[in-house]
Amino acid sequence: MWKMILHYKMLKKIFTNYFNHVDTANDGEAGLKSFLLFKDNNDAYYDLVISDINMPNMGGVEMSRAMINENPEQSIIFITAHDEASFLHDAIEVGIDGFLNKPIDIDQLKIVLFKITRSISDRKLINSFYKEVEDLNMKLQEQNDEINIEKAKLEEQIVLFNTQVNATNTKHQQVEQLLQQQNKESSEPLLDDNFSKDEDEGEENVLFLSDDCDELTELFDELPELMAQYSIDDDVNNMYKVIAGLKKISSILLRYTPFLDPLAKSFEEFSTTIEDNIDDFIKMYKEDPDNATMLFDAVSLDMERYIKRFSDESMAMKNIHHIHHPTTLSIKQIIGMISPENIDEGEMEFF
Amino acid sequence: MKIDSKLILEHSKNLNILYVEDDITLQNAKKNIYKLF
Repeated sequence: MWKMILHYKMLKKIFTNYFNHVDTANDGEAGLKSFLLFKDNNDAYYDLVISDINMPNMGGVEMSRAMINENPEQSIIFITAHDEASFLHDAIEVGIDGFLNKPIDIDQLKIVLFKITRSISDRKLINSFYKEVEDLNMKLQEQNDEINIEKAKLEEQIVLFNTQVNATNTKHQQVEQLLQQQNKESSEPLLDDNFSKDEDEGEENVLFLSDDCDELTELFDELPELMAQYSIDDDVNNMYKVIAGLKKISSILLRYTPFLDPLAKSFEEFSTTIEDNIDDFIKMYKEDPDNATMLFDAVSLDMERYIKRFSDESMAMKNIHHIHHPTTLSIKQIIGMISPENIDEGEMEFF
Repeated sequence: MKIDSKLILEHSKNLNILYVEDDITLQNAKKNIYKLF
C-alpha cells in the first residue's frame, strides 16, 4: 500500500489550501508572540494552533499552557514523534485537542483536520447563535426598560387622572346638591296640580262661556299675525289693531270673577302702554322683532292653553293666580321694554 | 477511513491558524520528503 508522507514544508502549503489564513513561527517563543500579536490586530484569537512539541527557546507544551491561560477555549494540535511520548502526559494535562503522529501521512492529516475543524466551526456557530441570543436579550431588556419607564409614566398619569376624576365627581355632586336645593326652593305647583285640586278644594269655580272662548282664541291667533303683517307692510294700523285686540281681551276677562281682574288689568295696561308709546313700541319691535314676537307668542300660547282648559273644565278661583301669573310677568316684561318707567314692582304681585 | 478534502474545506475555509514548526525538525525531515511503504 502506498502512503504519502508529508514533508514539513509541504504542510504549510496544504494548510494554506484548507484555511483562510496561515501564520508560521519557528519556535514556541515566536509562536506565542504571533499568537498575542494576532489577537491585538484582529481582536480575536487564532481558530487553531498546530505545533511541534520539542522546540528550542520555548517548547510546545509551555507555549500551549501560556496560550490556553490567555484563551481557555484555544484549540491546539501537537505534531508528535515516537520519541516524544514523555511530553504526552503534559500535553493532555494542558488540554490539547489532538495529535498528529510523525511521520505524517495525508489520510491521517485529513482525519485529524476534519475532526478538529468541524468541532471548531460548530463551536463558532454555537457561539454566534449564543451572541445573537445575547444581543436579542439585550435589545429585549432595553425595550423592557423603556416599556417600564412608559408604564411608570402612564401609571402616574392614571393616578393624576383619577384624582381629577374624583375632584370632578365631587364638584358634580356639589352642583347637583345645589341644583336640588334650588329646585326645592323655586318649585311651584304645576298647572295640572292646581287643576287636580278643583274637586277637593274648589268652592267657587270658573268656567268660560263658549262664545268668549271662541272670541279669545280668535284674538290670540290674530295678534302674532298682525305683528307679522306690520313687519311686511310697515302699516301702523296693524299696531292699532293689536292695541284694540288687547283691550278686547281685557274687557272679556273682566266679565268673569274678580279673581281674573289682575289678568284683565294686565292686558289693559299692556294696550294702554303701547297706545301711549306707540313710537317706542314700533322702534323696539323694529330693533329686535324676534324678541318682541317671541314674548307675544309666549303670552298667546299661555292664554290659549288656559282658555282651552277653562272652556271644558272648571277651575278653583283661589288657584287662578298660579295659572296667569307667568302671563302677567311676560306682559310686564314687554311693558318694561316699551316704557321702563312704567315698571312698578308693587304691581308684580297681584295677591 | 478516507476524508474528502471538500468535507474539511466546508469547515476550515474561514478559519485562521498558526503553524509552529521547529527548524531542526524541518532540516531532519528534508531527508524524507516522500517515503513509500
